[in-house]
Amino acid sequence: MVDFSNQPTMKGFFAPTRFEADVYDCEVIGKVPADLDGAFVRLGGDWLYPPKFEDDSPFSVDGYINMFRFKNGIVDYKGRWVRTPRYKADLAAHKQLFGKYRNPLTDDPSVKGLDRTVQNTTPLAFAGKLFTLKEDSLPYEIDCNTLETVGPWNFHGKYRSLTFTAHPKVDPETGEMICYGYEAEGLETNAVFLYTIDKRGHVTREVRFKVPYISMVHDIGLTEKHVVIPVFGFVTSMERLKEGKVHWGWDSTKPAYVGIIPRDGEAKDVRWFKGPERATVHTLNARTEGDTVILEAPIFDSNPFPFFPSVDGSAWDASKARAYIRRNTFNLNSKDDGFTEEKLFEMNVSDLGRVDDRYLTHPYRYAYTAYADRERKFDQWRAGNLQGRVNNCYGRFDLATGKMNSYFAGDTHSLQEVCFVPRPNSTAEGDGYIMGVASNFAEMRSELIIADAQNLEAGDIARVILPFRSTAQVHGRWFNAGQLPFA
Amino acid sequence: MNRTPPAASAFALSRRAFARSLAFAGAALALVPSAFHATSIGGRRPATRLRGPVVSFHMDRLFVDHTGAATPYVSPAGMRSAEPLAHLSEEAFRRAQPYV
Repeated sequence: MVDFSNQPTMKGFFAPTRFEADVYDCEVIGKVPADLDGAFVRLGGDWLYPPKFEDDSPFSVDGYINMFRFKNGIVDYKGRWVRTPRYKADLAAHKQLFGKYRNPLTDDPSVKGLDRTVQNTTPLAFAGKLFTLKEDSLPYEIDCNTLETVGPWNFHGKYRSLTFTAHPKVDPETGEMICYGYEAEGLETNAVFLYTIDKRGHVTREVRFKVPYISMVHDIGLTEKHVVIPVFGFVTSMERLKEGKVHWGWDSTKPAYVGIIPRDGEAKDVRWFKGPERATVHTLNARTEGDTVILEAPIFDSNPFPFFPSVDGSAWDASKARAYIRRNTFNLNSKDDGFTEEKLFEMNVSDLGRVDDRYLTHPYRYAYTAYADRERKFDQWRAGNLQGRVNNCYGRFDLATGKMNSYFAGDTHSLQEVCFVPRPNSTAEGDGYIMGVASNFAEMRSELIIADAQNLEAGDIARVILPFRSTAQVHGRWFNAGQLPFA
Repeated sequence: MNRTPPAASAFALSRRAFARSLAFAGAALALVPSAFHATSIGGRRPATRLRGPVVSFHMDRLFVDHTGAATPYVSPAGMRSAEPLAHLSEEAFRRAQPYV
């Protein structure tokens, strides 16, 4: 029988929810914009069974997809576990069979060789299909109306990498998807396979190249002409896995590399630039200006994740685990492998930042992300004392002026990743809504926030109320009715 | 010197620890029937001339209203639901919740 009583951090709001849900015609405070026709789809995790090891990464949590479906001003909610082979095996055994994060050597022998992905990172709509993404396996197709799991997808058999990134980029001009897999030839291999896939889902191009060291290549930047590939201090080895450790450790002696390859280039065209210790887990946007490539991203000074400990045994440093919006500039004519870095804002932010995706690859002005405003009141007597640890605001960061506009969620709330949703039929950058889920620690419930992206200080236009906690997400995306065959 | 107790106070005493202490304090409580009645969650304090302290629990903490004027507090489900992680160090917190 399942028992979470010995999981000290899975209590209160943070306890597993362990149910699937349908809520029709959700309660709303305010008025949902009637012209929004589509869905805000979130992917995160909920433990079906407790982790096998106390020191495992929270990224081992079982994938759970949920969706707020908008139509005619009405919102329906649906949540389902992603039924991976791992989920099914655990459920059949009534216990956790899988060991540490991306280390199959710590699994129960009964599941040897089984696909151990948890599919808990990013939802994707592409070529008329809905997918869940986790960077250790192929995408999993999901029925966009029922959220039932269809199974792994390999793009008509032409996608050869064994893995698929959680952060593919879709070119807003061509509709092509640029995507990749790292550890593409299997566990502890240093090959990256980079793909171009046309808007009907067919592979049109594959390039295979090696990275300077096997590392987490979690996200990329895409310009009209180049792909920008950050590689940073997470390291792994078969020796680590044999020692029963989680897949990644942090090596502060490793330089941060950034690879740049022309979109029509070959493996020999990859140019590696090198910089000091950094962690670029997520990117905002990139562009090519003449012979210069510019990448903007919320970048950490060092290891952001204490559950991927230092390989030298040194203590995790919270002061270096803060992300700042920075600009990296790469001169393609330079003779050396250096690049410049600028900190664009002095305040640290959530590294789960977004832009208006219609401006991906192009010059743009606004970045959106959550942050903690410690000047705002946090009602610890109603919420519990997480003062200073919660992201209570969404910010619109103006990269042209350096100004920031702010949305405040409330004094018992914490905000998950923000998403920019364009206003239907608009084209101007930033004309639309910001959307994201807030955890309300006083009411023990989740609330979907919808605010005017051009008037954040006015507060939310609408707040969709769930009468329960929805699972914590990693990433959430808006997909309009033209992208998926919604009923 | 006589000291007036505060109108209400909170103690870092768990419900379980309190229950254990009842075994020793049972006889004393039995002498104060109205106060004992007031400890029942959701119960209403009967009209009585004898006003004893009113005991409530919130997030496993004991709250005592010494004036005896209050009704026992019953917290809504989920109140202070972030509290179980509030005591964690920054590292332990981020281990559990990298993206709160």
